[in-house]
Amino acid sequence: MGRLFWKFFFFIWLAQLTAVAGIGGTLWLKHRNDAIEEESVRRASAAVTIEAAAAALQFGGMPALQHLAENLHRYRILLVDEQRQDVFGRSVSADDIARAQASLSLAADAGQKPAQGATDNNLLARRVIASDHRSYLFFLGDISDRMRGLDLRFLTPHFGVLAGRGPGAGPGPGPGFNPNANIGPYAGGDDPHRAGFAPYPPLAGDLQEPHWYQSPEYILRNFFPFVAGLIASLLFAALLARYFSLPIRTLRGAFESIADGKLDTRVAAKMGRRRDELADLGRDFDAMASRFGALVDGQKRLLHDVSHELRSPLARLQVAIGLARQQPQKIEATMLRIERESERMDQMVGELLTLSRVEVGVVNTGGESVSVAELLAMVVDNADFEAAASGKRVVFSGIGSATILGHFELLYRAVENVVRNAVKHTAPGGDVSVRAVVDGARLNLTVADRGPGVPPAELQAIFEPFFRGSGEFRSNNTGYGLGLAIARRVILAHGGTISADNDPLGGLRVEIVLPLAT
Amino acid sequence: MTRVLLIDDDIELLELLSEYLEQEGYDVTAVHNGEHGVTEALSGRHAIAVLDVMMPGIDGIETLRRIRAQSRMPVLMLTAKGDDIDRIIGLEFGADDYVPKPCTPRELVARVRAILRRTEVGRIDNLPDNVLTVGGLTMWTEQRRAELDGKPLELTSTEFSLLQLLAKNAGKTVSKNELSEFGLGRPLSRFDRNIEVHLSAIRQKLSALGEGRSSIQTVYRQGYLLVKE
Repeated sequence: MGRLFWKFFFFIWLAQLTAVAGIGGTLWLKHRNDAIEEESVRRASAAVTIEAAAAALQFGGMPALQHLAENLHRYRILLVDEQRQDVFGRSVSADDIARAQASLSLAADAGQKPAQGATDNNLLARRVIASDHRSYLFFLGDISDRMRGLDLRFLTPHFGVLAGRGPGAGPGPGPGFNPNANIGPYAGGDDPHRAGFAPYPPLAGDLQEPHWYQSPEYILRNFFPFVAGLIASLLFAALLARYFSLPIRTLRGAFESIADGKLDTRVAAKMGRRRDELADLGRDFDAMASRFGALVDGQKRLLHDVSHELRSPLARLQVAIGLARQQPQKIEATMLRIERESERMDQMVGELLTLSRVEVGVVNTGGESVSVAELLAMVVDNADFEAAASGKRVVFSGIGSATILGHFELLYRAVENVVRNAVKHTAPGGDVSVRAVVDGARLNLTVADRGPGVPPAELQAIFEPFFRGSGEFRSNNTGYGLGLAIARRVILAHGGTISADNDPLGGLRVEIVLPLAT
Repeated sequence: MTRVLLIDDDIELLELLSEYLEQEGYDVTAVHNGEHGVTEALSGRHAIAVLDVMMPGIDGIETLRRIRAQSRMPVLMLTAKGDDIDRIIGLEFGADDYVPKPCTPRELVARVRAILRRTEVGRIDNLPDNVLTVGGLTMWTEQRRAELDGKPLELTSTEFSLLQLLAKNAGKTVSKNELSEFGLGRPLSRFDRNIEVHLSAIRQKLSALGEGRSSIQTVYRQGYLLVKE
C-alpha cells in the first residue's frame, strides 16, 4: 500500500469520526434537555402528590391516607413517625429518612417553605403534623434515582423489576395490586438496610460499584456497538481509500513501464468496468501509449529503411570504384557513374529531410495563398515535357481559379511526385490525366495513369516510405520509394487527404482532396 | 571459363559487377529476381551463384532453399550488415559463405575464388587412397561423397571440406583458423561465425542419420575435434 492509500485512509476515517462525534454530541445534548424537562415535570407532579397526601392525613386522618395510598400507583408514599417506623409497618432505610430530614432542614435553612424546598431536592419530603398531633415525615422514593434508572435502563440488571413497577407498567392498577401485598414481604425482609428499596433501581452510589463493570453482559452491551462501529468505519475507510488509490497505482506502474520502453503497456483491462475520471485517465493513457508506440515504430522502420536504402547506392559506388581501379583506361566512364551515384545519395538524403521536416511540422503550411491554376500548370507543363521524351503525354482538364492556403514549394512537390509516379508507370504512348474539380470548399484532384495498377492489398502501402511494389508491379530502380510518402505527408499537413484506387479500365488513380482558402 | 550466376534486384549494381567480374575472367549471367535465379542455378551451367538476401518477391533465403532442394552448388550470399547471418548461412539452408554488402568487388572476387578453388581441389585431387574412414563415417573425397553407417550424408561443399579436414585429423584438435583456411579459403576474421554455423549444420545432419552422441567435439578456445574410435 502506497502513501496515497494511507492518506486517503486516514482522512476518510477522520471525516467519519468527526461526523460521528458531531451527530453524537447533538443527540446527547438534546437528550439531556429532554431529561431535565421531564424531571421537572415529574417533580412538580410528585410535589402535588405529597401535598395531597399531607392534606389527606391532616384532614382525613390515617384511613384517608391509606385510601389514597391504595389508589396511588405512580408513587409509593412512605410515612414514618417520630420513631422512624413506617406507619404501615414497612421497613425503611435509615439513610433515606436521614436524607429526607436533611433536605427538609436544608430547605428550612434557606428560609423557604418545606414543600417548595422539597422540589429542589432529591428526596421529596414533607413533615406533617397530623390530627393526633404527631409529627409524620412523608417522602416519596427518590424520584431522581428512578428517573436515572429510566435513563440508564439498559445498564441495569434491575430493569425488569423497574419496568414492572414503573409508570409504563400499565394504564391501570394491576389486578393483584395491593399495598399490603407489597408491604408484606418487605416487612419480613431480614436486610434492614436495603430490603425496602430492593425492587427499586439502585441509588447513584450503587452505580459506581465495581461489580457493575465486571459483568460480561454489561461489557458486551456497552462496547459491542462501539467496537462494531469502529471496525466498520475502518473497513469502509480502507475500502474507499483502496478504490481511489488502486487505479492511481496502476497508472503509475504503467507510466514506469512506458518509461522503461515497454510501449505496448495498456491499462484499460486493469481499470475493469469503472466509469469515472480515473477510468477516463486510463483510456487517455492507452490512447497516448498506442499513438506514441506507432510513432516510435514508424521512426524505427524509417531509420531501418534509410540505412538499407543508403546501402544500394553505396554498393554501386564501391563496385564503380573497383572498376576504376581495375580499368584505369575507362576512368572517365566510371567517374561519371560515381558522380551519378553520389548525386542520387544526396537527392535521397534531401528527400528524407523534406519528409521528416513535413512530418515534425517544422514547415509552416498555412503561410501563403497558392493559386491552384498556376501550380497545376507548372507541374503539368514540366511533366508533359519530360514525358514527351518517352512518347507519353500529361493531359490536364478541369478548372483553374481556386486558392489554397499553404506552402507552394511543398504542394508543388507533392503534386509533382504523384504526376511523375503516374508518368513512370504509364506505358510509352499512353496518357496521364490530371483533373481538378472544385467541390464546395474543397479541391478534388485526380491523377490517373494507364499503367499496370497496384494490387489492392498494397493500395495503402504505396504511401509508406521506401515502399516498392512486388512482382510485376514493382517500380524500376529510378526512385527511392519516397515520392508518394512525401506527397502524403504534405497533403496531410495541409489538412487534405490522399488515396489510391485501381481504375476498372486499368491503371492507378490517385485522388487528392485539399481544403480551399475561404 | 568459369560461369558465375549473379542474382540481385539492383540492375545497375549487377551491370557494374558483371563488368568487373568479366574483366577478372569470369563468364557472368545476371538475373534480377529469385525465380529466374532458381531456374538458372538449377540449369547446372554455373559453377557458383552469388545471391542477394534482400529481394522483393521471393527473397534470397527462399531462393537458396529452393536451390538447395535440388543442388549442392556453391552459393555465396550477399547480406546487409545487421542481417541475421546465422540464419542466412543457415543450418537448414546451407549457403557456403556470405559477404556483407556493400563490399568492395575485390573482396567479392576473392571469396568467389576461394570457394571455387576449394571445390575444384576436391574434383582434381584424384588420389587412389582418398577414402577416409572414421568410425561409421566414410568419405570419398574425390567424389565429394560421404556416408554414415552406410547411409548417404548430404553435405554442401563447405560442409564437406570442413568434415574432411576433421576426419583427416581425427582424434586431434583442429583450430578454427585452420578450418576457415581450408573450408572457406580465407583466414578467420573477427566476429566471424561461419565455422560455428557450418559445424552446427554438420552435427545436425550427422545426428539426423542416427548418430547418438555427437562425434564432433568443441575444444574450448582451441577448435574442434572429430572423435576417433
